[in-house]
Amino acid sequence: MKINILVVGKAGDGLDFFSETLCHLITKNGLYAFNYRDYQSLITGGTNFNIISIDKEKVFTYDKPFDIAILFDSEHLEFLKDVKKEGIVICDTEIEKFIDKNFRIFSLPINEIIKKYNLPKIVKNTIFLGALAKILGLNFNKDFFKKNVRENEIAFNEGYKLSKFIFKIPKTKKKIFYFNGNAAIAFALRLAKIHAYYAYPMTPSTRLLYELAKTEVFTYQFENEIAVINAALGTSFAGKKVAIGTSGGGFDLMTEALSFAGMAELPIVIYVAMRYGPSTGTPTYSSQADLKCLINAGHGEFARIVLSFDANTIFKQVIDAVKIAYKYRVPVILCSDKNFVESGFSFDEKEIKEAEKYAKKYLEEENRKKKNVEKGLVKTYPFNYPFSPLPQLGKEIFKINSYEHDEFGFERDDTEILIKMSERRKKRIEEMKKIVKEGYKVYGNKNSKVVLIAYGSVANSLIQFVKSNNKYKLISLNYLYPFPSLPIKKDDEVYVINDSITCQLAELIEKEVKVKRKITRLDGRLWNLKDIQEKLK
Amino acid sequence: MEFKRYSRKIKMKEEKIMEEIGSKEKNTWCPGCPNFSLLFAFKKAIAELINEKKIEKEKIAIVTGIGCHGKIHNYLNLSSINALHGRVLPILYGIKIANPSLKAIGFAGDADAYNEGIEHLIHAARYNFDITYIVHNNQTLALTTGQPTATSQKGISTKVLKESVKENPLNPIKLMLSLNTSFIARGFALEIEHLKDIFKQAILHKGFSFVEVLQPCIIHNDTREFIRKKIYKIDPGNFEDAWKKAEEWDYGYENNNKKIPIGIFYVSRQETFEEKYMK
Repeated sequence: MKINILVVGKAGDGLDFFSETLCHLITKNGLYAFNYRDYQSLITGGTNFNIISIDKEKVFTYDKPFDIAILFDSEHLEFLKDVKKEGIVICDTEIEKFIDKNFRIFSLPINEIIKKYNLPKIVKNTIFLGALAKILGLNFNKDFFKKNVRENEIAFNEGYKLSKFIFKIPKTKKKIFYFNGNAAIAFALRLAKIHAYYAYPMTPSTRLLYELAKTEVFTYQFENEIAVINAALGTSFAGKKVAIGTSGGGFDLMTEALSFAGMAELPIVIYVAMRYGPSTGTPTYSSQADLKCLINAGHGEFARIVLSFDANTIFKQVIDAVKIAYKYRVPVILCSDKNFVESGFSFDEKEIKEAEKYAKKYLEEENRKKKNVEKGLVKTYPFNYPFSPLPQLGKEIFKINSYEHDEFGFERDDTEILIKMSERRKKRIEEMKKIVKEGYKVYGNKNSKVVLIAYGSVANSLIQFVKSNNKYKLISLNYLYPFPSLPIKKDDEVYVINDSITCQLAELIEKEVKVKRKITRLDGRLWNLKDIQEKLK
Repeated sequence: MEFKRYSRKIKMKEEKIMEEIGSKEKNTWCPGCPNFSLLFAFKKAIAELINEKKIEKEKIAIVTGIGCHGKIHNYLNLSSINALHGRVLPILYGIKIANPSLKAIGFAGDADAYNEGIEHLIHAARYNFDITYIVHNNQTLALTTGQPTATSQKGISTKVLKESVKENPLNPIKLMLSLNTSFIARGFALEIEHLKDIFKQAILHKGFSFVEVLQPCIIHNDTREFIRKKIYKIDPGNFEDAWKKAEEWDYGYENNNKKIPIGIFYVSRQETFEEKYMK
């Protein structure tokens, strides 16, 4: 049934509101939505577009050509080349004359409507939304709009009135929830009961700060990334769970403190949403080229975990990031990319319930351990065991050190302690391998000899691809460091698909198995179904 | 008679607490280093505050930076974290967000506070967390063998330059005043009783308390005699008075007419970070 909708205009037109509202409307009608957001680093003007896919099952990327296009202006007519010949184009009456008459055109007198009801110009997006809702045959609930209700309702109804029913979408009674990638991470971090989240704004991670700022989690934007990570280590020292978020450049600034966390055995969850290129790069486009940086960042040798996820494993992996960090007192890097975290996905009620159940189980276990510590059944200090729990600051006196130290946290530089502590860190590094249990998830034809390997947004797109291509088995990675051992046989044909110039992911895999093809992507854009089909031909 | 016995009893109790809050670690500061006096004044301040039931030992969280001052981590039997160079303040923020009931006290060197981590100092004054920040200012990077810092006096010769230092030193008291910091003080490590009183007031003050301690390095920048001769004690005044007093000394040693005010320059009760955001 899949329907692909393109909406294109300028920054400031409200495309994001349009797309997110549409996706919420789709999921409220018992259908699944996917939303890809393509935008530039500017506040008004330029070219922004979203692509929304609708399906009766979970959807992870979009397909071309588009069934419907919504044009906000006449400056983006070239986008119509990707619309189906008999496709629908929704636009303002004033630009209808520029559009090829072969399309089914729905033009709306935007300015007339705005004048008639004395509406702000921005509601153009809601007028289009009303028109599109009718074309798709979506039911609309009266309490749908939460903000500027009067203006939005008038605009929506006007658009709806002037449009026609075209698609007969089989609506269902299923309870489906739409989340932006960052919002889904926020949801899982809340389930894991973090106390605080600190960040300095950096695209594409910033929205996680917005999402958590609305909640019970204490959020703050400190003066820079160095302050952010050190503040988080202070919070961990004082016994509360904390996460921080950034992208490549911000992560670079954090690396000295990452090494400190490794030395001092202080837990922390660092969310890194990768973006395109070295240096400032291109903030609003994607890549997966920081993988080696995340695995190797920070001087010295210390235990760490680099975790990844796809749109099916996101909740569990985010909860596990918090769980592992605080259970083993290690830094955990939660690695994703722009094409994932700024895209939108739909989740079944069952998935939400499962995540809640999983978090509940984890929190019960954590509370049990805390009680044992309080009762004195578990020794916290001195730190004799590789994973001794942290004592409670305010109740016990203990010491944490960035300098080499003994089990009491006192500064030391004698041979005996240096060897002992180096061995302790070695043991902790080795133990990390045991933590990686479900290191990957397999999709597609499980018996296939042609194996695709990917993570993050690339894995999402491939999940969609292998649904309709029985030739392939897909391994979507949950852990990137320590790297899990993969279910690959000697005669399997291995294709690694990775958004990096050098195919960094393949380098990790090649240590174990032969990689037949390295498929890379250099333009920062999302893999749609057509792209994958062409590359794998 | 009664009073004498009572005060002796208090003194004994304080001495006992001082012993308790000191560790058994071997002290590696140079013999005669003013850091010993600073440590003594701090332990005495804490012991008195504990004895006066104004703070609890377990509720104290110390953060130290890197350099000679940072060794204080080893010498205190209090919860502490010996953090990265320059990053004492952010760790203090994080501690207070996790548990506002803790007494969070930071120690930093002049290079920590005014070089590597000066951005945090400026923002800490704005945030106004209820924390105390003690800067051991010896106007040199002592532990790394005497390189210049932001407060090194003009004309000092170091190994990092062919010529002597030609920059004017930063005046941290003026900097903190310009930021309307809620508590600003300067002490001298060898004026132990006076310094102890400053520490006590700084720790009890609600808001960001900035205490700079002149703590000459006897190896690389021995300014003890000059400071001892030029210091005079002040009481907190209004902002204009504080600014004038802050301008009296420019952290230089070339002119004999100089006077060095020590004491609390300025105190103002402002809404703390905890009051602003964590009600």
